[in-house]
Amino acid sequence: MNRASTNAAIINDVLVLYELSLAIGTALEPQKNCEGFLNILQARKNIPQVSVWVRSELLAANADSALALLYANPRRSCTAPDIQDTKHPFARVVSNQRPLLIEVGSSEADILRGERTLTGGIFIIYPLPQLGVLELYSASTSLSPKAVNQLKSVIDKFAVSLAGSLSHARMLQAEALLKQSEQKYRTLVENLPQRFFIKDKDSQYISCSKNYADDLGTSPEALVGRNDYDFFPAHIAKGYQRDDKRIMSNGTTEDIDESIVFDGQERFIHTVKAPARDEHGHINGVLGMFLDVTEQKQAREQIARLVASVEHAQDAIIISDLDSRMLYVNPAFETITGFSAEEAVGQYTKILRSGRHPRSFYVEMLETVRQGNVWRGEIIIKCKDGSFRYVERNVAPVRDECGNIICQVNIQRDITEHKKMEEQLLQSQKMESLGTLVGGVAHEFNNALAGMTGRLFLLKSKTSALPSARNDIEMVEKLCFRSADMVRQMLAFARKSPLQKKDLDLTAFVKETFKLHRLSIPESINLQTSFSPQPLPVHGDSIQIQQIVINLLNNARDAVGGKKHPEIILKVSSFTPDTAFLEAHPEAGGKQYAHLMVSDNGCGISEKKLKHIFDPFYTTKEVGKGTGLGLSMVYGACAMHGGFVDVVSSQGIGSSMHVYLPLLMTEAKKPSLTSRQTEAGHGETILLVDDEKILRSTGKAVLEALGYVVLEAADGMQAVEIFAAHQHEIRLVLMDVVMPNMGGVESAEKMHRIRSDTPVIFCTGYDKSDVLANSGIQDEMVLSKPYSVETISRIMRACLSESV
Amino acid sequence: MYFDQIDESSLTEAVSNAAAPYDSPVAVIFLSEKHADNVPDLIKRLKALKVPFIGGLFPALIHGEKAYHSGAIINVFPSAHAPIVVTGLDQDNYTAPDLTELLEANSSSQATAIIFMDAMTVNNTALLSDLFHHVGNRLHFFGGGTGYSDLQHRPSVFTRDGFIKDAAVIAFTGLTSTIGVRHGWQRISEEPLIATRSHKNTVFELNWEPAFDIYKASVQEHGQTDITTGADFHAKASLFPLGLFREGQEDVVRDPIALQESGHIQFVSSVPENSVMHLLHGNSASLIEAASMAVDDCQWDKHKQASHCLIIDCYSRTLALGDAFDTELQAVSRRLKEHGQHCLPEGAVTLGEISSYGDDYLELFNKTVVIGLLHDGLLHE
Repeated sequence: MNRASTNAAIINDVLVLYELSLAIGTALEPQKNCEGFLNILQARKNIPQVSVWVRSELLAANADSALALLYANPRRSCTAPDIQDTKHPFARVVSNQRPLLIEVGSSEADILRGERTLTGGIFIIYPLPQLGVLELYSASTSLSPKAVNQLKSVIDKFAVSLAGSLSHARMLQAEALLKQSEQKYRTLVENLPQRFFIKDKDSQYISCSKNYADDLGTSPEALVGRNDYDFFPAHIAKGYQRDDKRIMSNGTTEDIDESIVFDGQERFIHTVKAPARDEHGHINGVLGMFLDVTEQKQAREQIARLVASVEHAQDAIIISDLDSRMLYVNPAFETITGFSAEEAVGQYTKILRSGRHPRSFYVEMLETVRQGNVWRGEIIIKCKDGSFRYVERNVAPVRDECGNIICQVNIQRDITEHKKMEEQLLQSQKMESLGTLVGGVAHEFNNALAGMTGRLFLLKSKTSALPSARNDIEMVEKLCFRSADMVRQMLAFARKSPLQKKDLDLTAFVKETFKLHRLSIPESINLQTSFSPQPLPVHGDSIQIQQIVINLLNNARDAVGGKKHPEIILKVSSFTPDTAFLEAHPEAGGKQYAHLMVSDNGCGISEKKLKHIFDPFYTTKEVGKGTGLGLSMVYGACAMHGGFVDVVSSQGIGSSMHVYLPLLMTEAKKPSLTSRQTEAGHGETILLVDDEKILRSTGKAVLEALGYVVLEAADGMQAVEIFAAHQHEIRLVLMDVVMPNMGGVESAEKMHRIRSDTPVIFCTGYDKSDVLANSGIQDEMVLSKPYSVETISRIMRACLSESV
Repeated sequence: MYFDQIDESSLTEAVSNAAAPYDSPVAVIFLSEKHADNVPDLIKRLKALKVPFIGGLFPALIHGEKAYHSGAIINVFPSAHAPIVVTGLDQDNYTAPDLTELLEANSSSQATAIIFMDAMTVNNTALLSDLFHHVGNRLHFFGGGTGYSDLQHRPSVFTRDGFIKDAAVIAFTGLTSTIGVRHGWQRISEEPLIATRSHKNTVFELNWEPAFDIYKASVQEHGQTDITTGADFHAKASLFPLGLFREGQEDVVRDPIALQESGHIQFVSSVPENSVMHLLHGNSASLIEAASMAVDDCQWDKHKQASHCLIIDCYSRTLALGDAFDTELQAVSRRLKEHGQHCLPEGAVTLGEISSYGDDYLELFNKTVVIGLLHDGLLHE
């Protein structure tokens, strides 16, 4: 090579080095820094492969290996070299800090080759001082040591540049981490509802969260260096600084609760203050965190009120999960059901099931709630003691914020007493209706019977020569009066007729009644009686008591029908209430009772039927054998006498009916004999007023048969007119009460104004207590239809005698 | 195979026939710039064939010893991977392809990628750099810049996805390749021309002074030629390209193709800032000799026949050689025969040449001839 070409080669080398030098440090980012330099190196020096290995700690890479791959072109993935092995070429370069050339094919080259397929060429390893190594691969083996040395100076500069890049990258990374960390804490502080602040030793603000600064109407930056006196009234600021001093002095954390007035509203603040410490643990200020807990406090109070409401509610409240397992029960639940909260919680609500409702009832209830609706209804629950109670239940779903049903609230009101009262009201209404019905029927019956008895009286006088016929007539007459008694009983049962009570000896009365009724009981029935040897005086309506005895005997008779050895026991005795009796009838205390018992060994009454035997028109007898009124009458009559009736019955064994009537403390008066003779008239004029023509004609005939002169009127108005016209002749008025145009009472008043000394006897087919209530008419001047001719003749006679 | 007429039906039939022997073929189509209008219909017909393909438009085609200014050359290769399209090369944020799957599938052999890239786009050198960074020498790249002789930027590559610009298309074949790259341009001055300010393909300053002033002065002094700012800038400047030093190789040529009004010089490929270049010049003899040497460089095993011989020759060489360009092609054919290869060289006159240069660093060359022999040793031994 001549000198010119040598110079040219040197100039060329210098130019290449110049170009490479200028390619160093073209980017701060380490990879880009490598790329900027090495791309030029590869292009100019025809280097197909380069790799930059640096100390792992510089990259925060896997610390298991000393070197990590920072850059490779073409890119490659390979395991980190083990430079602990001193034979590794990298270890030698790192150790010697001199470039190393290794021809492909050598054992050292095999270490470097890795997965790469290389058919020839050379590796040149340059040290990168303080960093690692630069690995070059050239396909040509003609690289001279001089060229390698030329490059070293440039590569050393590249190493310095790269060190700067890596340092910068680490700094950026540290800054990013710091920023990230700061951001993390900033995010924590700025996004929590709590307010944070830091003060120095002099209670001057060093830093605070934005929300705290917002509260104080400033910014975090503007708050620095200021103190509480700049924002709060002096007395408050003084208190805050006193707290700061105490906390810094004691070195302890404190919870401080206070209330302040903010914007005219009282707010409750919870503050935590702690001493701030420097890296040596010395206290250099105060850290504070506070939270406005007004809403929480109000919410807690609201919850407390709700809890108290629930705890003191009269209604039972159950909170249960979706499977109806009880989570909470209130004290009212315990009271109503008898289950304690400990017993109930954890149990399913089905422990309250009474068995009175079908399964579908409960399914429908649960399904309604599951579908998000409220179920309302009445239900019978079973209490712990086995008793049943009516409750009005309201079951509602409870939802979370997302609208999912999380549990159910079951509120139940005990309506058992209400139900009983409702039943009583119903019964009362039923009886009222029955009374109205009976009253109407009684009027018609009584009018009819009155007509019949009148006609029978007339017939009797016409058949005096025919004793057998007279006997029949008298029998019919008796039946008429018995029917009238029946009507009276119906009225009595329906509480439509006041009792006609008198003192009587129950023993004697029952004996007499039994004697009369004995014939109606077949002889095949073994009938045993037991009567108290002592008289048992009671104050009662003889007809009703008689009816009690007859009804009970008839029922016993019917019950033993078909029995092989039928047996009936009739017993009358005195009775002193015992404990069991008083439990059943608490109002019976302090009294003695006459006890009438009728028992039989008949079919008995089932428990189910036993509940209904006193219901009107309830009968178990065959059609035509019972009216269903018998025991209803007994029940009503006993009640009206201040007594009781109890039933003991076993199905298939027999029944015992026990009637208790209060005993009189004095002996019963003996009944006075009633005259059975008619009192004849003496031609006096009688005004007979009745709207029913048939009764009027019958009455007229009877009165005329008795020897009276009769004027007739079809209603009250006509009666007044006739009375006015014949006021001096008419000696007595027989007046129907309920009539069209003008009633009997009004008519009598008008007559009274015309002539006040004419007696008026009222006759009514209605319950006289109904139609003449508050009329001021004396009881003895009122007759209930049908009345016997003897009775009316006597009363008329007495009235006429008095009015003379 | 060369088709002097563009009759789409015969082209598609030829593709279909050529693809028949392969399970998975890929067609590579060199199309004369004259047939740009036919491209959409050609794409439609090729899509119907269901044979994957890539194509590019070039100023001229090479078939054997002659250059043609019309027609098409079609080669079908066994495919190693579906063709890839890289678009948006006018933007710095284009997406470089991921060839991991291809490399894994061909780990035992060095497959060949045939690449056509829009010569007039700005990031073509960057894409090659990315590809090399990604695959290194595990894949041989061979190809050229597409475009038109008027150097106007229009769509110049096509695939089944369309006829596009600012894009590159790459076909992959499992055939191995040996590649020779030469240009024959010589330094005519030891005076360095340093690109003291440049960006991608444009050089703003040379030796800290306006680029055109220095370049013009250098050509005038060492080439005795007056470079003007007129329309004939490229015609004259193409005879005086610049060369980037490359250790142990010819300088890498950078072809000045346009002069901007501000005096900035635009090159076919990028010129990194601070690159040290030298003024080059060539004569017919050196260029033709270089082409012959490229054939020598790509010889692999004279006892084995290559299945294909691809040739990529720079358009500016045709300008420099003029009528002697055919002589260069004849020299190439002759040298091939001397090496015992019977295959006809086929390829195109391109705007920039691509080669991974055997096992060397991948570059985008200018004013260079690249010759590649593709081998399937088992079939052609």
